[in-house]
Amino acid sequence: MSLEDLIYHCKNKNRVAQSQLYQIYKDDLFGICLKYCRNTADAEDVLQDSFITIFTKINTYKSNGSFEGWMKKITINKAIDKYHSKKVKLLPLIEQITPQITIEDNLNTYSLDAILLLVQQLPDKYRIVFSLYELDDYTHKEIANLLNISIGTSKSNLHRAKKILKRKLLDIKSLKNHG
Amino acid sequence: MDNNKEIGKAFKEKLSNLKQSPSDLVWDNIVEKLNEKKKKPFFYTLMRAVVIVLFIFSIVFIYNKNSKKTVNNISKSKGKSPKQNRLKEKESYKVSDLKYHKNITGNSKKDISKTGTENTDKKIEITKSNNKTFKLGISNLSKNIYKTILKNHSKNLNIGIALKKGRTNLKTEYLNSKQDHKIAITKKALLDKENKRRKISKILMNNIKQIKNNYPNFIYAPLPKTKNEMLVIKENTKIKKTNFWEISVKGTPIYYGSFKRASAIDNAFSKTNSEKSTIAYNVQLSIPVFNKLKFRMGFSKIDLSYITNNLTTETIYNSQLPLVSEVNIGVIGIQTSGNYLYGYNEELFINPNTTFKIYQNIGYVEIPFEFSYKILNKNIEFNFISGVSFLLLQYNDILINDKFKLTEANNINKLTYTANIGFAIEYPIMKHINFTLEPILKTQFNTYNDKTRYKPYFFGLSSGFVYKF
Repeated sequence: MSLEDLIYHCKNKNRVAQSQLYQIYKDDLFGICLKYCRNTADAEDVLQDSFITIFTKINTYKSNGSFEGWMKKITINKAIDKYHSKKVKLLPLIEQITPQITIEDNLNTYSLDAILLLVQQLPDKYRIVFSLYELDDYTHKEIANLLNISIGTSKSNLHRAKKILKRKLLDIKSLKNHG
Repeated sequence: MDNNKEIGKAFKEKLSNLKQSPSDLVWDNIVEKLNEKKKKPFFYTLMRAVVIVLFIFSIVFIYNKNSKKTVNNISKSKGKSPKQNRLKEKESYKVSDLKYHKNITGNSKKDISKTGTENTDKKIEITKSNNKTFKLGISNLSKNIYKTILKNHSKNLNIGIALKKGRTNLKTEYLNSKQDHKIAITKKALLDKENKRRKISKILMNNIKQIKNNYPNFIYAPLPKTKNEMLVIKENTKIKKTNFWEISVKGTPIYYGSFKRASAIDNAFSKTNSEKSTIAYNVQLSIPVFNKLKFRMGFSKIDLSYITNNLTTETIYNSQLPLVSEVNIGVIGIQTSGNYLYGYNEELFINPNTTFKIYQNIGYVEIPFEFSYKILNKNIEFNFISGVSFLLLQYNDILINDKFKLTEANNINKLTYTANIGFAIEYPIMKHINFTLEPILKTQFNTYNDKTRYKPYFFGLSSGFVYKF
């Protein structure tokens, strides 16, 4: 069955077609969710919400752009919704002055899971900006609009996210050296 | 990798290969949610519809009941003599229908003659059979109303209905006679007759309307004929006042629950045991609308405390609470270090093996708008309550162990509303003071501004005192 046929049957709420569409795209979209969420449970929640929206709004898809791109956008928006829907306000952080860090190692020496964990362990507001800007090529202006923050805040959060990542990589490196 | 740009690129490159499969439960949940989407609106629409229907039903029921009371006291005895009616010994007085006796003769003079002695085509027959009903029927009439009716009873009672019927009969007979007997009756003569009837009808209807307006509790009843009967009326006519303005003061322990198993604070806590306790204080004013219907409004102060028990540092870490796993970056708030949980406030330091509680304290001011319909009005009053309340958020705090204020919830709407349904039982303890007990269910509709699974409701058992004045 072609993608067009699959979309057509999904528009008619055919559960078999919906299941097939889910099987085809679940891994890709789950990868996006993992990069935006703190843990696997949250990522699964976002994936679930994304597919529900995809199936209920598929009638609005007009075949103009790529279907994958449309689904990816929905998934990122759902991840942002999840970020906004947090039950409590994040308290302000005091930036700690960190020394200039140089990491010579290439990230290839780390496993994919370890890299993902580093991103997931970032504080929510840093992780969401880092993922949008660095992993999905959003501009600071777009991020500011999506997250209801200023462009300056977006830049500053990105900077802090990178700083934390560097520090973590250094910690891991030093642990390796001592080990 | 010595600058920020490179680290971003490196992560992007590495994570572009990321592909993982979600658990099989995700698809099951999606299917469940897609099926639920069809049912969910129905459930909430049904809840709202039930409240609205009950409210409308209450009003219609009251209206109909009042109308029936009036109409039932007027029974029609078509074509029967007063003697026949008396012999039947019915349990109420009957004011017979006014019967129009028309005998349209078939001569060429085109006139209409009438049988009987009544030149107004009306004959009122009043029968009496049961003294008990007689007293009951007049219970709401004052002496003045009776005087008025005695003077005008042949005109006032039931004449509106009778005349209407008479007009219809006249038209029918006219048409029949025209066809069957081919009697030529001029249109003018008929119209003159009809106009006369209309005039009389209009005057009498106005008269009845005026009486109804002046005496809303008026019930059509038989007329006293003798002085003795009037004395009986005087003795038995005690107008019992039932419509009071009321002020009530109540305290309400409330069970605060959710239609779905979930946590109001964080989904990570949905499987932990929670305690919910609530207390509200309420002042209300009731205003009579109809005989048994009252409108109530006032305000209440509601303090909710939602306690999540048996939490561990691990549960907190998996939640969306403002925790940061990094110890060394100078975070204000609470942090996890290893399995320890601590905050900048030194009082908070939790070992990994101990459990602790999170309190969510929420305060509302409630403004209820409710209707109360009296179902039973004996020594104990029993009322049906239905309406809506508006809740204005006053405060909301999230605390650990009821000491350390962590933060405030940001997903609670400042103005929410509830649909209310319940009963009020009142027992008189003094002349103007009743004790009241009110079990009421209140369903909240827009408490949270996100898609939380927590669908809260209150079930309160108010008790307090009602002052009638």
